[in-house]
Amino acid sequence: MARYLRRRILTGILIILVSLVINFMLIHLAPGNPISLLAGKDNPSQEMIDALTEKYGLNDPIHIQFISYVKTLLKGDLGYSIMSSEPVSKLIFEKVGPTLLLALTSILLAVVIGTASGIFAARKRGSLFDVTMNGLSYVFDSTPSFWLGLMLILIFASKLKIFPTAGMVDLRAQHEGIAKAVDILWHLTLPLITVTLIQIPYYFRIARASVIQTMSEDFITTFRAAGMKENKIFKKYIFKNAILPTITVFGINLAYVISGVAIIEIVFAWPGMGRLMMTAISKRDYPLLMGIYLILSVSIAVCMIVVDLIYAVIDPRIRYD
Amino acid sequence: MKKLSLLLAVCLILGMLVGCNSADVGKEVPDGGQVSEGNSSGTPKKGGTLIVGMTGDPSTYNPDYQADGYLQPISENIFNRLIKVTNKQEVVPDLAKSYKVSEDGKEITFYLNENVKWHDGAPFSSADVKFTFDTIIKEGGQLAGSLTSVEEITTPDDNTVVFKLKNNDSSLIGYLAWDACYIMPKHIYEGTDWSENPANQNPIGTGPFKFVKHEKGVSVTLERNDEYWGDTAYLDKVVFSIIPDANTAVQALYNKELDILGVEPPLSEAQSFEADSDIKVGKQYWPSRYYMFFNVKDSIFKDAKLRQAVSLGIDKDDIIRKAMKGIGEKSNTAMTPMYDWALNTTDVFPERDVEKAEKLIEDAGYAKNSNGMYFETTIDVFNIEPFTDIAVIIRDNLKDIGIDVKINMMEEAAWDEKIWYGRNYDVSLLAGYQGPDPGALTTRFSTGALINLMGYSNPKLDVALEKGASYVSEEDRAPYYIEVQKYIVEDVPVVPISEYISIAPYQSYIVGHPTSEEAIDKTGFHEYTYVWINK
Repeated sequence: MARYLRRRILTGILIILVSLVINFMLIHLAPGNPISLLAGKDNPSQEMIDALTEKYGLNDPIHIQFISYVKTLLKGDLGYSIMSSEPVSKLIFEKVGPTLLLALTSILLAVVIGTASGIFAARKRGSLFDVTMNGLSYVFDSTPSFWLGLMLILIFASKLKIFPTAGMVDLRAQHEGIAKAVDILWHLTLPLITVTLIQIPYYFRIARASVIQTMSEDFITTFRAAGMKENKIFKKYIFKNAILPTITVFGINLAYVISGVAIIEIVFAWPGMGRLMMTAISKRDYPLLMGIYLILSVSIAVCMIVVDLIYAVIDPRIRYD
Repeated sequence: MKKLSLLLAVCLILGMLVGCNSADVGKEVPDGGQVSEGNSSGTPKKGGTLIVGMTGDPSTYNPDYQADGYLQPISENIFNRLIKVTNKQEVVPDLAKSYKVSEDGKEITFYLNENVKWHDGAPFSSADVKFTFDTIIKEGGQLAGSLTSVEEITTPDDNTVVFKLKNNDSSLIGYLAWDACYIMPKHIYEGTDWSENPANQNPIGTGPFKFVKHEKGVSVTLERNDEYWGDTAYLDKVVFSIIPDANTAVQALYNKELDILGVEPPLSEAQSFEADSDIKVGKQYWPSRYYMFFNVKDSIFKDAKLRQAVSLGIDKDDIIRKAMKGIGEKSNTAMTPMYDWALNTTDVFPERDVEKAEKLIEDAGYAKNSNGMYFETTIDVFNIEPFTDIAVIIRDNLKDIGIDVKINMMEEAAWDEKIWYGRNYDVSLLAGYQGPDPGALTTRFSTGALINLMGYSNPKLDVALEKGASYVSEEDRAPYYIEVQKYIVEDVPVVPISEYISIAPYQSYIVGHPTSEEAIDKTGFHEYTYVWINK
């Protein structure tokens, strides 16, 4: 088990290093540069462009820039954002909370609702519930998230006036304490519903398919023939086997969750990291973007290791490989 | 009241000094054509919070360091300039109660308001003004490129600042009233790195509102400065609410979560605002016209005949109606009509004429192929509304005269690389600020200028532009700019399409919006000193 873990961690570190190099090169090779975007089109000043290009070392060859980036990184410093001249770590740290609140809550809801309904549908295969859920899963799977978000705003905020349109807090009321927490949850509702609805279909279909597949395995037929109770077969044998693919998908999605909610954060003016990333991309804020990608690749690596470990615990076949 | 009349008097004096009477400069755009309620609603009420939309976070609160569209509306409320430009595009006093230009135009003297205090209580003086401009020039701030004519800034006393110029520069006043020249506190910035000073996240200004806090991605909060040296604001607080998606912001306005939309609405929404009685629509008319420009140095459009043909082939009315949903005004003059004292109304771009256009292309030596097309070209546009839609209409228009246009849409950064720096294109579209004075023609048309992306060069035009900048009075300058416009019409390095009008919707209970009658003569583009909530 220790050897298994060691190997997984080494792979993880390798992934982070490789992605660091690739990200750096790709970002810098993309057309455009942050300084010309900063200078704008209204009244750009060559003096300012020169001063800033010099300051951020953007005239140096790319490998020199990479080396100096890695040097500061080794000191534990993610550098300064070009857009705001603020430390990258501070900018990212400020946005992690809202993103995790939205992304984690939604992925947990989606995995619970999706898997439960998937299992239920599989056990009642062909029932009205199964047919309806199957249809709905395709509808939401093919719905663009920004469109769904806007529709929910139009229905629940503009027409029915139940929920707020956008943002995280009521700026007029400026609540404090518990009232503020309630206010945030209130604002969280619509974006949360959007992200959850979009994600449920994955979990629904995976759970449904793997339960159906496991139910048709020979050993299950044998249990049935031996007269074992349907409930016991399900709890003890089907569920354990059928849940493995869900865990894999959950692990992968967990890692992509931050970038995945970016569009929804923009539609609902939710102050998260996805939005920060989109702005950083369009403004070519190299240090900020590198910082975000580094955090993403670290979290992807960590999630993969954790999923592998859970897998090994649930399924002994893997750890004795 | 006393202050107000003083201000008006100063406005008048200033107006005469600049030589532009408020009646004949710029375009007066009435407040959405509706009767303003301000006059009938009695005395202004003090108090309340104003919520204004904004699409992104300001990155720093150093107002002179870099261009930042998100900071501008906030800067106007926290800081002051020497002079400022209103939504009528007129220059009015700010920290300088008046100014005087010397006979030879090489010296501008600003007389500052007295008893001005910074938000931290420190007294303001001419030293702050000198420090601000010295720093912008030394550090290469956003405005540095427009201050190259400044030789030295002196401060004869605490309330007087003198700009000594190397050469006469008539555009300078306009730039000093525009953006990125807000006066910064010397006692806070002196001896520090101005790009990393802590005040960049916690600004100290002299303006009508004080900075309270910025919650990243959520809001920026300002409160009234009760010690303000000018007219004290009515509102207790101004909160900028950050909503990145314009469609969402529009819904937030309809749902009364925003008092002022604050962001450029999708053009398709314009009609619904007009139809909604709860919403007033202010209009802002900018010297930032949309135009099409050619690579005259190195592309098929080296041939002036083809450029003229394109100019004759474009249907500007069609573009404004379809691509801009009617929010525009056809541009046929070679310069923005806002500076009408220097506008050439004789030499203008022609109206659409398909036959003439086809003849010009044939004269240039092209013949129609089997598809009925003379030649093929690509228009590069950035993927921002309405540029993309304008390009689509242009493609249809030019098909009529036998030019097969392909549209290449790209992200702004990629556009920068290909067109701005690479000059690797046939034809493209642009807008952007083309003021504050006819002198701005230099930036876009003189040989080798920064935004002369066309690679256009006409020595006669260069000379005329230089002459135009070397005189002080409008009468002396006008003939040269009129001449410049003649060359632009003859050479067709660009085809102007439409004037830039932005619409600013806000709740009908808001009085004193910067585009409204009550405030348009007194405030900057987004300054909320005179706003009050009438409900």
